[in-house]
Amino acid sequence: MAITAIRTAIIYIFLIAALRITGKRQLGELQPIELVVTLLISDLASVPMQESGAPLLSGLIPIAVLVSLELILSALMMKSNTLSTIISGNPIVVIQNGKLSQKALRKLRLTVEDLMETLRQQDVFDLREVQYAIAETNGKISVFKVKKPPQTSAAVPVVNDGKLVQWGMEMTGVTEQWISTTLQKHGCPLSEALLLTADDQHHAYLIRKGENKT
Amino acid sequence: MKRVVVAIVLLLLVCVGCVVSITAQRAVLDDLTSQTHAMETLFKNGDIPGAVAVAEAFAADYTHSTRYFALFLPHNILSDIEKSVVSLPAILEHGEHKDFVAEVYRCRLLLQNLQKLELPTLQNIL
Repeated sequence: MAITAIRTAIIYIFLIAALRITGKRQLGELQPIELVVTLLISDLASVPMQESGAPLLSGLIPIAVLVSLELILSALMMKSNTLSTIISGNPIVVIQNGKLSQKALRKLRLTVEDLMETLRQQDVFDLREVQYAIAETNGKISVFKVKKPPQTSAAVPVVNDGKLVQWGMEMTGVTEQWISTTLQKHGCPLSEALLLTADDQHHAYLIRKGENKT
Repeated sequence: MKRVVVAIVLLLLVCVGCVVSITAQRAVLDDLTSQTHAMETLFKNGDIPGAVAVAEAFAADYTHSTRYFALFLPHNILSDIEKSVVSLPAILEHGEHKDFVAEVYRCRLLLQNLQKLELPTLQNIL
């Protein structure tokens, strides 16, 4: 038991040193590769803690190698933009001047509903409120809003990828009949509608599939 | 920049540690293997007290070496070999002599396997 306690203390001190060397970046700012390395380190550290039959170095050496490679890679990424692009990718514009880039969404493997959810978390309830929305390399979406008077009601999806969104219909009070009429007015069948939003005043905003392929 | 230097130093230390451990392991295991040959020869020549002395020295050497091996080798493998090593003087002094050669052979094979275990060969890496 004493051995396990001492080994745990040694690993704890080693982990503090290792994390101190890697720097002060916060969890929310981690790139995907950094997140994976952090998870790997925690997993590696737990093995020699639990198994006193495994050499302590079998946990410490992989951690030291991972931390070193991570540091060297991040230093190289600072020197080379190409390497940085290969490892972390580039930010991608998903909305520009209120227009959704379906190509960007496909590239990011992001659904319209995922995007709308992220926008709502940033107090954006209507795509037209967005000047720019950019998917950052760490997976977050940055939003720059259009300057205009505050809206009185929120626009929520009532059709998403050709399917009716029940909660959106209930929230805005629109009916299937209204959706059908609105789509007919735009000459767009339901299956061709990527996103149709509506607000309390039943103002519609439609994006067809394949529209704004930028 | 300091962090990168620390990272490079860490990697170099790991590389040096790998080379030192493999070299030391090879030297110690070569020595231990030659001791198994020596005790087998003495036994076959009928020099039982001489074989007992070598077997006891062999067991002591193994225990001393594994103190360092335990830093980087799996403890269960070292423990398996130790069981065979410590049984050799006991077999000579109190057991059936006919089992001795087989046990020495087994012990030698385990040592040879241990020697190959940490080598960075493609087979071991994969």
